[in-house]
Formats: sequence, structure tokens, C-alpha cells
Amino acid sequence: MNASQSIKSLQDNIAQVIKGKSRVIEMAIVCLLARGHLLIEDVPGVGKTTLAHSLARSLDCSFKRIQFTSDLLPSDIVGISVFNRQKQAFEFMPGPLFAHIVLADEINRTTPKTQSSLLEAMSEAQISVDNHTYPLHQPFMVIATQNPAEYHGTFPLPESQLDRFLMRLRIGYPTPAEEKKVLDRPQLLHPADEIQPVLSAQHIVDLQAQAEKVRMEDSLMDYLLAIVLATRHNDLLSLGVSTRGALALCKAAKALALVRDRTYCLPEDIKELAPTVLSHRVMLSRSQGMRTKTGEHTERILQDILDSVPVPI
Amino acid sequence: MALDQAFRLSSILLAATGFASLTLAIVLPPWLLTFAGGAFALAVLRVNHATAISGALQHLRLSALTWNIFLLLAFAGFWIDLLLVSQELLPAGIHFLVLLLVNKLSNLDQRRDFLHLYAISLITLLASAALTTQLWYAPFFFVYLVAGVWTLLLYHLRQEQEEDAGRHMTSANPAQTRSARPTITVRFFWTTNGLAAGAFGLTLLFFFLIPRIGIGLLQNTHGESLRTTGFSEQVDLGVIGPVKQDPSIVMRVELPDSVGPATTREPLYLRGVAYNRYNGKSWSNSLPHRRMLTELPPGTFTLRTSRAKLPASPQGLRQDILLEPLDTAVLFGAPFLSTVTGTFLSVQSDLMGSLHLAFPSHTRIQYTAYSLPTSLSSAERTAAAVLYPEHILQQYLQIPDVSSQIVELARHVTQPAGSVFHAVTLIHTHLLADYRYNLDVPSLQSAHPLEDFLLTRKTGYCEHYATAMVVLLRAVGIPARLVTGFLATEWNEFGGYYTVRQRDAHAWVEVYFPQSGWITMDPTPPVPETIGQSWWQSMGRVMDSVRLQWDRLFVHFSANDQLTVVQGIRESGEVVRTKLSESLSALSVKSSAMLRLVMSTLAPTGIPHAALLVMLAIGAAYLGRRLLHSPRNDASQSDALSAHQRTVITLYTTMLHCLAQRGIEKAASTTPFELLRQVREQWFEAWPAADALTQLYTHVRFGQAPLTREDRTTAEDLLRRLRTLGRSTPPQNNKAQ
Repeated sequence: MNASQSIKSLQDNIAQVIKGKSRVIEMAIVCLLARGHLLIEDVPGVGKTTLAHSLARSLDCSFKRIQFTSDLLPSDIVGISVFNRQKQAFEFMPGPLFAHIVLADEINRTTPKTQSSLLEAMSEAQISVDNHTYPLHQPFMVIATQNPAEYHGTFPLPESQLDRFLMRLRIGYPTPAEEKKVLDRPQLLHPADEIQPVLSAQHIVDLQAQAEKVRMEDSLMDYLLAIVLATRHNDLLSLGVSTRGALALCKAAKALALVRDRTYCLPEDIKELAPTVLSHRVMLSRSQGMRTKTGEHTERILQDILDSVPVPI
Repeated sequence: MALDQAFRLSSILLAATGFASLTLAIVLPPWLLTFAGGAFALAVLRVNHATAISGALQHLRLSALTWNIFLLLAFAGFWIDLLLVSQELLPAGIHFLVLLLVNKLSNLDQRRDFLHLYAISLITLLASAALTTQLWYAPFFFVYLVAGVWTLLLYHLRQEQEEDAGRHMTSANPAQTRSARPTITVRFFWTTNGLAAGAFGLTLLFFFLIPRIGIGLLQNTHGESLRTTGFSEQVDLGVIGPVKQDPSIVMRVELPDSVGPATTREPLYLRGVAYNRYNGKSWSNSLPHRRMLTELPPGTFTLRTSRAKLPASPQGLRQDILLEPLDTAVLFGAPFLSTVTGTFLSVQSDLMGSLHLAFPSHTRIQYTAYSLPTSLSSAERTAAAVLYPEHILQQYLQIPDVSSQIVELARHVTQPAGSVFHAVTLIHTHLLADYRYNLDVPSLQSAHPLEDFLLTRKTGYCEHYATAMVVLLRAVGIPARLVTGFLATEWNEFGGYYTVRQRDAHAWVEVYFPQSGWITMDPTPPVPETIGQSWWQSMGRVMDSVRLQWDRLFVHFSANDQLTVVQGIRESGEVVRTKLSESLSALSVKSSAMLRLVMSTLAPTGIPHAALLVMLAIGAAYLGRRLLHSPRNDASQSDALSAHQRTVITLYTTMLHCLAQRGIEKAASTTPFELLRQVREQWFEAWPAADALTQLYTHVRFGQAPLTREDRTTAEDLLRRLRTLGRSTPPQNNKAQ
């Protein structure tokens, strides 16, 4: 089974559960193949958890879900050392982070202390506890969700942590027809439990390696950097895209090219991904007010920027 | 060839070229020549490490101490040379330089040794340049340049290779290094030579363009002037004979105004000095008085024969003469010189029409001479007796006390004469018919050379003939004088000039007629053709014309010449500009007439100007758009693009033009497939072709896939289809409508 077939089967598999959201599924897979982490920002009940769950199930991977609450402590997610009386030694009990796919539900509900304990795991794919470093599983992907509608008692994610997510997605409501299909389904089982794994973890690691080998032509790099540069010089933005952001866009574009069965990137890959990958990495200037927590406004500004940067011919 | 070997060989070649040019420029002592030659031979033998000889040579090496002692001795020798032997800095320095060269050639080990060798070879080349202005220097210079480019290139390659090798030692296995060692290919060879030739061309350009300083700063020209005979105050009979075999070149004469077949020319008499007094052994001038010629305008010296006004411009036969440095101050020219132009301080003339400089020139001089030839009037041709002026009779009828037999002979020969001119021709034909031309005459020893020639031996050469004719003429009362000069017969058809050599030295006769003036007569029988037609001789003539050009273009290329060239270029540029503006104005007259016609039929006056302005504005806008639409990124980008990418970009741009004509404009920020979607919505018929083209474009442009020939033909077919579609179906959503 080659790359495009594997990815197609993965997409189809998830699409059995998440109806009418092919773009969201595609983005999630891109995120996975680019070794990135996904931040889903939407109102409750549109299928955030189901997406993460079905992705994990389709991959024959371990899946853990952490409900972030205000009293959650770092040790609750990382793990804890417990004294073993027989061995007369401390023994590390791995926390829920030791899984392939981790769903961090309502990540903005917990304290910054706990949020930052995710930092190392997300960027280094390893965890250090009591001077000991434990590698995490491969592939490792954090899918975090947050509710933009309600801010009461939340701790908004700091910039540094937002930067570690490859992309920020919105799922949105399905169309009425799609919604009807959801309702029409037998409700005895969770739909995500019905699907069967189509790819192994090793498969994903291979695909990730393949995504890295996708070619990006020189002029496209220039195009990408022109976009990044434009965000830094835009009056509406007080903070532009960092170098890590440029790198993320590059990686994501390559993964998207692989998903679309190409061995090379196209300008559309970059252009299409730029709002998703970059919108949470920029900060609106004060004149733009605080009305846009959802990021819709930021995406519009990014779209304007994209419309001004010439595509290489 | 291996790199190291090639490098060493080219270094030695470089040094050898410099040395060879030095040996040609200055006479080196034989022991030094042998020594240096041996050093070169050993150096070449050492290059090939593999042979047994070089192995043996490695043992022959002298120690560093020996070489140091050698150098000290050489330095001491330099001082001895300078102070005692040659007593001049230049030869002594050159001898020392050759010894240094030998030292370096024998010790080519380290990088700096090679650098020293190059420095020494450069000095040898410069020294030879200072010593000579000959043509042979040019090929040596060129070879030096080629070898220099070679050597420097190889030097850098070798250095890089060594550094590379050093790096490889630490990382990779040495086998890899050895396999990566570059070798010198034929292609490399020719590329390098091309580079050298290009450098040479550039040098030439600089040579002609850079403002010049006067020549002769470094030039060593003393003692180079040619020794001539026959032009001094007193000329012994028979002095010309010995030089009749000497082929060294005295002057070159161009006749810019005369037309004629390029291959052969009539012999040209170049008059030097005239003599009127013969004492039985030698000729001399009894009228030593000279006067200065008027210089008007500057540089032009005119001989005023009568009180007539000076002509506005010089008249007569024009000759451009390049005179080698001679030991005489005489200016030569066809009879009779009226005007000379050249950079002279002053020009003097004697009473017999010869021109002299104040002193002999030590450098080559170039001047233009104008001559007014004389011819015998028909009245005097038949006149039985003529009346000579008193001063002519005084000066030109002197006869030494020769034997009465000569006077007898003259009377006898001219007995049947009906006129003066007839008498002259009778003596002329008598000499031509009864005497034999022979250079082998020991006349300098003879006490009575003229009697010997006329009465007993009856063989001789031009001087004897001319002297005999003058004496015979004077014996019958006809004024005559002897003239020495050159008879130019060697026409160089390649350069278009006469080559005059020492052996062309000649003597002839001038006979006086009161009305016509002095008439040139040559009693010497024509010498057998010396000018050869074999390829070897014509080759020699080609070489001589090349040498002349070399002298003119390089050795004597002065600021003046540069100015002339620049003026010539400017003048020709002016001509081109005038012609261009003429044709342009003709065109504009036509077009404006047409425009006026159109405008007068369409609208009242005033509109043409507005229309012109609008047209200009449109043109400017178009230009500006073109400039804006080619951002600088493109230029820098195109360097990195492959040929395939460039081709496919051209194809894609053509497609964009096609689409733009239908109103589907690609915005700068539109990606290829976004545009395709646009095409699908606005011009569905064209979509399949556009789709295929876009696929191909993205595949080659961003996927860097090769563009095959079939791909290209397909793409061109698709473009054609797109164009026909654009013509056949009317646009629906066209903005223009």
C-alpha cells in the first residue's frame, strides 16, 4: 500500500464518523504527518473529541483523553513516582501523556502551571520527571480543544504555548443534511468505536518521514518567507509570525502535498494552509480591540496578506 | 596529464619564454646561455617523477648551503660585472637575473619558489621589453601571456587540491582523494587558451584606449642608426659598390595618391644629394651654402624656388616616407622636393635642391614629401643650341684634368648630334650599349677610376656610369651634375609601399636645360630583377608589412595617433548620426504628413497635438507597466531556474496571455489552480486545455520534472487549441463588453 492509498483509506475511515468535514479531517492528517499538534477551537458538541478519537482508532494507536480542569496538576498528566515497598524504591507511574494520541480537552480551563507541563512533551516528544527523561511514543500528537464562547474561569494559553501547536482549526457546524445523517445513525455505540484501524503506528512514522522528503522549490520558499515577512510588517498585527511559524508552515505544506499525492509543493499548499497554521501565531494590534478571540478576524487579515503577496510564476 | 606535472611544465614554460625573449633582446655571454639552458633542461627532466633519469637527478641535487654560496658568489659577480666588466647597470643586472633564474629553476620545491620564479620571469620579460621594439617581441609576449594564464590557473588549482587533500586526510580514506585528483583535459586546455586570448584582446583595447605617455622612456636606441654612403660632403667614386649587397632597410615609401596595379610599380627615384665638382677621384659640392626653409603652417616646410607665392596646399606627387635612423641628415624624396611635412625643428636646403635636417635623427622619422617632377619641353628637345645662364656655366661645367682621350671620346660620340638633347641621348646610349654592369670593381684602389672605366675595363656600376656621363656631357659643354639617392624597385604589394634597402643606393645624372630645368637621366643599364616571386620572398614581404604595422601601431603609437583614431571614430560617428537623422526626419516628414491628412479629415486643428500626447502617454504607461510587471525577483530567480523550467514558464505565460484576452486575468496572488477554477467558471470550453497545461506547468515548474519533447509538443498543441477557441467562441463574461 503506497502513501496515497494509506492516506485515502485513513481519510475514508474517519469520514465514516465525522460527516461532511473532509477539510477538517484532511487538516488533522496533515498535522499528524507533519509531526505537529492540533488545537481545535470551537463550541462544544461539534465533534472535537470524536475527531481525535476516530483518528486514534483508525491508526491502531493508544489514545488517552485528559479533561483539563482548574485543579488539574502537572503530575496528573505526566505521571508520578510512587514508592514501591517491595523494591524499596520509587517507581514511575506514567501519566496519560504516554499515549500516541492525547486529547487535551478544554485546555484553557487549567492553570498555566499544568498547561506548561505539556510544553516539553509537545516540542521534544519526551518527559522529564525526577531527573529522568522518558521518551514518548511515536507518533505522538496532542489534540487540544478549547471553547471560544465562554471565558469565565479560563486561563488563555500563553503565546509560547500557542506557538507549539502546528495549526488551529475550527470545525464548525455541519450542514443540515449532514447533521441529519448523524441523527440517523444507531446510537447504541459510540460511532468512533465502530471503525477499525487501517494503519499501524509504524505506518504513520514512515509517512512522516516521507512527508519530510517532499520537495519545495526555491521560489516557493521565497513565497512562504514573503508571506511571513508581510505579517511582520502589517499595521494591523502587533506580532508577526516567528521563524518557528515559518518552519511550521513549511512542514505543513509538505505534508499537505503528500496527502494530495504529490512529491512536490505547490503555491496553493502554502496559500491554503497559511491562515490555519499562522493565525494563532500572530497578535492583533491594540487598535483591533479584543473582539476577536475566535481568530476569525485574524484569519481575515491573513487572507488579505495572502491576496497581496505575489505567487511565483 | 596530471595536475602537478602540468603545473610544473607551464611554470617552466613561463620562465623559458621570458628568458628566450631576453636572449633575443641582449647578447648574453655563451657560458651564461649554456648554464641557463642546462638548468631549463634539468628542470624539465625533473618534472616527470616516474622516469629513471629524474630519479637519478634527485640524487644530483646540491645542498641548500651550496646554493646559498652560489647566490653570494653571483651577487659578488654582479658587482664585479657592474664595476669592471660591462660597466653598465642593465647588462650586469640581467646577468645577475639569469643567475637567480638558474637558482630558482634548480630548487623548485615549495610554493614560494614558484612565486619567485614567476617574479623573475616577469622581470626578464620587462627587461627585454625595455631593450627592444622589434616585432619578434609580440609572439613572445603572447606566449608569455598564455603561459601566465595557464600557470596561475594551475597554481590555484594545485593549492586548492592541497587544501582539499589536507581536509580529506582527517575525514575520508586516501583512496577517495586520489580518485578525485583532477587531470588536465583537452577542453580545459582550450578554455584556458581562450581566456588568455581574451585577456590579450582586452590588453590591446587598453593599449589603444589608455592615454599615452611619450615613448622612449625605457627605450634604448642609441647606436642603432644605419651607416649610409654617398650622402656626405665628399663622395669617393666607388663607395656605393660595397653596399650594393646590403639588404638592411633604409626607408619605406607609400604613394597614397597614386593609383596603379597593386602588384607591381615603376621604379621610383628617391633623390638625396647632388654634386657638381669632380676632382678625378671624388665628388663634392662647391655650393655648401644652405638656407632655412619657411615653416608655414607649422610642420610644413616649403622650398621657394622663385618669388612665386606659396601655394595654399602642397602640390605634386605625395609620398609618405618612414625613414630609419641614418647617419645622414638628408631628407629623401622623388625629384624634385617642393614641400615636406613632419615634426622637424628645421629643414635646410642647399642650392641644388637637396633637403637636410639640422642633424641626423637617432629615431625613426616619418614625413610626407611633395615633389614636382620636371620634363623636357618639346622646344628644347629639338633645339640645336641653347643659351645657358652664366651661373650655371660656372658651376656645372667643371672637368678635372682628365686625359684628353675622354674629351676625344665625348666629341666622337656626339659627332652626329643634331641638337643638344640628341647629344645627351647619344652619350646615354653609348654608355648603355658599350659598357657592362659589374659590381666587382676595385675602383677605390685605382688612381684614375674614371679612365679605367671609360677606356680600359669598360665594366662598372651606377657611380661609374653616372660620373662618366656627367664628365662626357661637360666635355661637350652641356651642364650636368651627379645625384645620389635610392632607386626603389621593391614594391610590397601586401603593405602597399616601396621597401628601400641599402642595396638600392644609386647614382644618376641631372642635365640642365634652361627652360625645363634639371632633367633626370640614368645611364646605368637596368639591374636584373631583384624582386623575387617565390613564396619565400613574398612571405618575407608579408612579414615586412606586418613589421611596419607593428612599428606604426605599437612601437610608435603615440598620443597623437590616439587622437587621430578618436577623431576618426568621432567623424565617422558624426556621419552615421547625420545619415540617421536625415532618414529619420524623412520618415517623420512622411508620417506627420500622413497624420495631418488623417487628422484634417477627422477633426479641426489642435487635435493632432492632443492625439500625439495621448499616444505618448499610452506608450509611457505601457512601458511603465512592463517595467513594473517584471519585478527584480524574477531576474534573480531566473538564474536558479533550469532550462526546462524556463521553457515551461514561457508556455504558461503564453497561456496566461490567451486567458487575459478573454478577460480572465491572473492576479499576482492567484495560484495556478485557483486560476484554473476561475477558468472553469468563466470559460468552460477552455478548461480541459488549461487544466492539462497547468498540470504540466506545476509538474515541471515546482516538481522540477524534466520537460520531454512530447510534453512540449502537447503543450504547444494545447496552446494552439486555446487560441482557436478564443477566436471562435465569443466571450461571455468578458469585461471589455
